[in-house]
Amino acid sequence: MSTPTPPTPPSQLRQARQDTVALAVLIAVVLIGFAVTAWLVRRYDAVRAARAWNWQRDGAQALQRGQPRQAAEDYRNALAYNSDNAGYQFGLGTALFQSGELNQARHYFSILWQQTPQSGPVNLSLARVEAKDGNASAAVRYYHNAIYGLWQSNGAAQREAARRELIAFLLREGEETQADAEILALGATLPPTAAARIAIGQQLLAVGDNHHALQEFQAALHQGANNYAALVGAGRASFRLAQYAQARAYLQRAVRLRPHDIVAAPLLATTNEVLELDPYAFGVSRPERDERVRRDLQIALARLHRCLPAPPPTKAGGKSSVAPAAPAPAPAPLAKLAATGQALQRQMARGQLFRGPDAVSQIMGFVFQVEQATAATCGAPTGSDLALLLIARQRAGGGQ
Amino acid sequence: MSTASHGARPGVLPPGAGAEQANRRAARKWAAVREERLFLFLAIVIGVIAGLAVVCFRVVIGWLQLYLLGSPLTPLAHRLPLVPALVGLVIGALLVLVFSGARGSGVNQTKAALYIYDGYIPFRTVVGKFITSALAIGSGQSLGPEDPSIQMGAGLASLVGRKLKLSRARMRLLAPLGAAAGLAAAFNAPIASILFVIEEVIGQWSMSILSAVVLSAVAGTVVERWFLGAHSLFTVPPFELRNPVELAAYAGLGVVGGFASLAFVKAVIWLRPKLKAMPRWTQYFQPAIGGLLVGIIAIWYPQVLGAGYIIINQALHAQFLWTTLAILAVMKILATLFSFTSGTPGGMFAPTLVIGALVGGAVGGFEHLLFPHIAAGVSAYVMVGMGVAFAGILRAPMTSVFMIIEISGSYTVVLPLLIANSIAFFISRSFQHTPIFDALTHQDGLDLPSMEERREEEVLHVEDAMQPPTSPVLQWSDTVASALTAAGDNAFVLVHGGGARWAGIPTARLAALVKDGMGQHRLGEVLAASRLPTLHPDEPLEMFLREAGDAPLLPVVHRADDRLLGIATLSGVLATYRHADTPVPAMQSQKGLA
Repeated sequence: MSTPTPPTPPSQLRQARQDTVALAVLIAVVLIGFAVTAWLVRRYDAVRAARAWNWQRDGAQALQRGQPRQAAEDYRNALAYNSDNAGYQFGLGTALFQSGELNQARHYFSILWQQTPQSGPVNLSLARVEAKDGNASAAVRYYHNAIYGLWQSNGAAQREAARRELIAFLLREGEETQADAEILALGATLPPTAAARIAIGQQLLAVGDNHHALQEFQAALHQGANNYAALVGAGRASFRLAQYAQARAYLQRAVRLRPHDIVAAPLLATTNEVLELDPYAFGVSRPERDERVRRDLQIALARLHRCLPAPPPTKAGGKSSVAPAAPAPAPAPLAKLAATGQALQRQMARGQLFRGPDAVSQIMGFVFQVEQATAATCGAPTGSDLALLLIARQRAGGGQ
Repeated sequence: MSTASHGARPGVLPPGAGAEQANRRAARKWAAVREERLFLFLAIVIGVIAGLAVVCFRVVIGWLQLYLLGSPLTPLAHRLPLVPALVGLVIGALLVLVFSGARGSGVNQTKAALYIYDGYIPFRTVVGKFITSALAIGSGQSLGPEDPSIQMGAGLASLVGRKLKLSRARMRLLAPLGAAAGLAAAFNAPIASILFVIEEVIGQWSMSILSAVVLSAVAGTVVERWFLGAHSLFTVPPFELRNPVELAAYAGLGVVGGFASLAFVKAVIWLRPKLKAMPRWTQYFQPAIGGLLVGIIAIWYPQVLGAGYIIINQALHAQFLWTTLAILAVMKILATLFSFTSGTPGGMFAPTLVIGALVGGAVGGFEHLLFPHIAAGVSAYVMVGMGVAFAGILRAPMTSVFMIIEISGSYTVVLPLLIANSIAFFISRSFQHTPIFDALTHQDGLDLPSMEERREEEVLHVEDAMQPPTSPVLQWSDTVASALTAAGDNAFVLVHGGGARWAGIPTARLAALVKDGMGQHRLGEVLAASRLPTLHPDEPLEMFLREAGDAPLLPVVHRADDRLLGIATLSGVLATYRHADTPVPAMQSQKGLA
């Protein structure tokens, strides 16, 4: 049997009612407060967003005008009103980079990178910062991230541009092997147009990958046989590969297209010289070979003579009390070659130049030694001397 | 509740009075239950209201900054000296004519409300604090929004409590709730806010209020994040302590930061009373003069304007040379000194953090220059510097550590922070005994409890009043007659009932029992229903007063085996309290017993 609950005193009932009303009022106040605060914050955010947008617009314009310091100030102002905006942070980083503030630029780009490590533009910007700061390995890493990263629009072109930038950076750093790989990779991604092939071919030439360069130029020529740039490129690549006959064919076609061009013609002349002076060329008869050897020897002796120190001038008609100055001594290799040259000249004069089975080899060996030694001592050769030097290198096993 | 549990004595009451008494008891119990239930709910509501108020406060400050100082980070030069000065005139007039209670930072005013006015803060003060502080900070005075947020939160809590007609005791508890919510919303740092309110406002860990403070602070933070976003105040670059030797560099920062804090505190304590003592009419102009001086500094160093969070971010991102940071630190100290001592409403939290950040950055940059292999990047020093200034100026060491962790969102800085903060706190306390808030309270003619002193008060223990037993300790088996003989001149004797059971009996009662012919009765029979509480040496001394009741002494026993170590007597306890600052002579021998 339960005891009946005593009635609640009126004062408590009154208090409970008052509490209920008070709490209802309190909740209403909170709701009104929420509404007012939301309105206020929305208005404030709108004003701040507008200010931020104006500042970033000024910053972008300053960047375009080439005023990166002003742009950095503007972007800082923009970020003061919208600190989370990645676009503004990127703009500030770019402005700082262009101002030479590499550490600060790196900092802002790093913040963005932590948020979107796959972003192409952010990685490219970081790559530029690292490249400018001399951190080659980090730069290459970020370049690769940019190449394989996400781009909001026109991704293929952006990636291609990033890879070209990487190639240029590698070439500046002297990393030809890495650059070659990047160029080949670039070529694989490009559309198969003649212009693209030629561009790749030229970049391959720049890194010394003549073989692949020749392929690119030949591919371009398949699309149009009278493409002057492709003909010159193919000629140059063939020339460097010591495929002189092929080089002459390409270069002749190029010169026919542009007879007064100053690029193909000198190269063609050198190529012709090589082909005409080479005694080892395929199909050359024995008399012709001997003739070429004789001519090569005379060219080499002339070069040697020009390269040897000239005797000092004597006073005309007068007797000097002072003994004439002795000629400057020739470098030891040249002096030795000069002695050998005189012996060969005497043999040639006596018609005994081609005595013995190894005569051609010995004479041409002498010719090559002369051209190499004079190139080292008296500067780069030209004309026939250059042709002989190229033949020497070809015989030694290397192209140009 | 204690009032409800006290028993009445119906036998001595007039007829009908018992029912009335019971009704009153029931009413009191109902009221207590009502407030208990209301309290936790109110904690959340107060947190929300305080959070909303602080969000509006921050938005209004931002708006005022935009329109008064202009849109660029570096304000337009022609506005600089004029705007803070002219707005200072308005603030001065408002403070003198309308909102006299809105002066100061807000922390002491909240404490005063708590300890002097039973948690009462007029709503006019809340409104005045909002308007005048927003004007001051918005016009570029070197002050922050956090301390005013504390007072506004507490004021709103007080208003709610008044409307609900809560008891005085509950009203006193409501103010800290609002303060915690206000600070949490202002700093987006709930843990540090809770710690600060406990460390500096309430002064003690009380479970009865802790959960409510937590709820309130969390509610305030949620509201703030709802409207203003959940991101930290600062974006902190990654930091890693690679070399333990670098801790020495942070110790150097603690030393420099400690002395910089000391210089600021000394300057405030020296200048403020001089300005307060000036004729009343000068109060119209003091905020304006403070603003003018700040404006003049800002012509060359605009970074000193306002709360200064942007400059902290810039320092964190190493945008200044260490020499620039050092100059800016001096300028910020001067600007804050002028703003604060002129009576302009506004807080010291933000300027303290800025001063610390600038000092930290300067020291870090300099050390990096000297020892590039030891001192890492400047960012970590900026962060630690903030904590150092907080510990050195505001003297809230625990809050300083957690605040830096929370506002930076980085835990890796904890070790350097602990070391540098401790050193700065030690230096500040060694050369400036009174903490800044306490000194300001004294200057205002108030006598509020010092939380730092309270924390460091010597706690007396039972062992401090413990004496060797002066009377023989009797056993349960002893007879009353033999006990009377053994008692001798002692007025009260202890009786051991075995194990942990102790009892005591006055000698006069023993004599009475003998006189009644009970001399041969065992003490165990006589004292069967009696039990004397025991104490342990490590217990607070006040335990004696709580436990003794009418007994003149209590046994002090070992925790492990309940053997008697000594006794604590009422006279000995009172003597110990009287001589709390000097050692009690008997203590040595008493402790020797243990």
